[in-house]
Amino acid sequence: MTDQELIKRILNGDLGSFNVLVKQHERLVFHMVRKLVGNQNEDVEDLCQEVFLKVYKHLSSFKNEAKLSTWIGSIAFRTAMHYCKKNGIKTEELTESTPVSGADPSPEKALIDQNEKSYLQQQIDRLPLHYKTCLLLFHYEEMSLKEIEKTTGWPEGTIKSYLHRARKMLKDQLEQYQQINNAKHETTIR
Amino acid sequence: MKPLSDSELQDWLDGQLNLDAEQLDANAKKDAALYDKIYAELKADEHVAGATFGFSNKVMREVFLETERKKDRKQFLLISALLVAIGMMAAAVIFFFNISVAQLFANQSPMQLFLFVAFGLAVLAAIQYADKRWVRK
Repeated sequence: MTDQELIKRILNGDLGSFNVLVKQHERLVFHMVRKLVGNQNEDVEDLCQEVFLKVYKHLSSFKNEAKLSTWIGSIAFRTAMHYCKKNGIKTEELTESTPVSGADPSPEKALIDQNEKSYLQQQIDRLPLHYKTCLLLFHYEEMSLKEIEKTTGWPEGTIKSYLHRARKMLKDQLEQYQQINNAKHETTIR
Repeated sequence: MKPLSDSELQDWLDGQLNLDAEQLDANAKKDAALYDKIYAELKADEHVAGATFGFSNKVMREVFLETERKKDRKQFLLISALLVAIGMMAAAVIFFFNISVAQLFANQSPMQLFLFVAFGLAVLAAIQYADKRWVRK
């Protein structure tokens, strides 16, 4: 069933079709909201519910200029951003000077690799909201820059700059992490 | 060997720059390897927790309640409009037939009594209708 058919059915009062829409997009909404307000936040589910209620209320105003997922993503984004502003949530900002911490104590390469992944995830979570949003939409949701522009309302050039800066920060952090780990590994061998 | 700026390297990794991997210099290759890891991590599914169990059911329940609330609001408006209309009709009848309310019971003309009873019944019917909706709920 195409998005248009689905919307038509929902607007005709078919609640079952809305259930299909929720199931199709719940992963996107949960992922976005969790990344923006924080994984451990207890309000995540309520916020996601609020997003879908807004979708239901405003579905008649949806124009097929954008993909349905982009439109739902933009509602999730605005709802999460509003929540962050209202609750003063500010993610710890990762900067070029943030020290690398928590290097792996285990000498095992496999464990080092595993921790490298966790380390990277930690750094991604610590990025400023704007950077994190761009990375999430571009890489995980595979949205184009134009779609991200429609979702967030930020200009395409700004999004591109956020993406570059965020990835550069992550690269520098990862490089530092690897250097520390290599140094530790060499010390253990000696 | 082509030295690339960090920005160009990212564009290349995004597929926006046409360049062979062999054309990269050693530094760019090293950076590209780091970026590969970052890109892989950004796409990784393992850290993505999906919706909580029964989430769509909860949403559907909320949507259903919202729909009901909307219907109730409409009903409430309808009943209010009905009551106002009945009141206005009664006022119009009193004015049109030049009825004196004080004399209504004293004179007890059949027409006046009929109008009075009809008005009373209409009010009762409206109250019953509203009551039935609340009881059903």
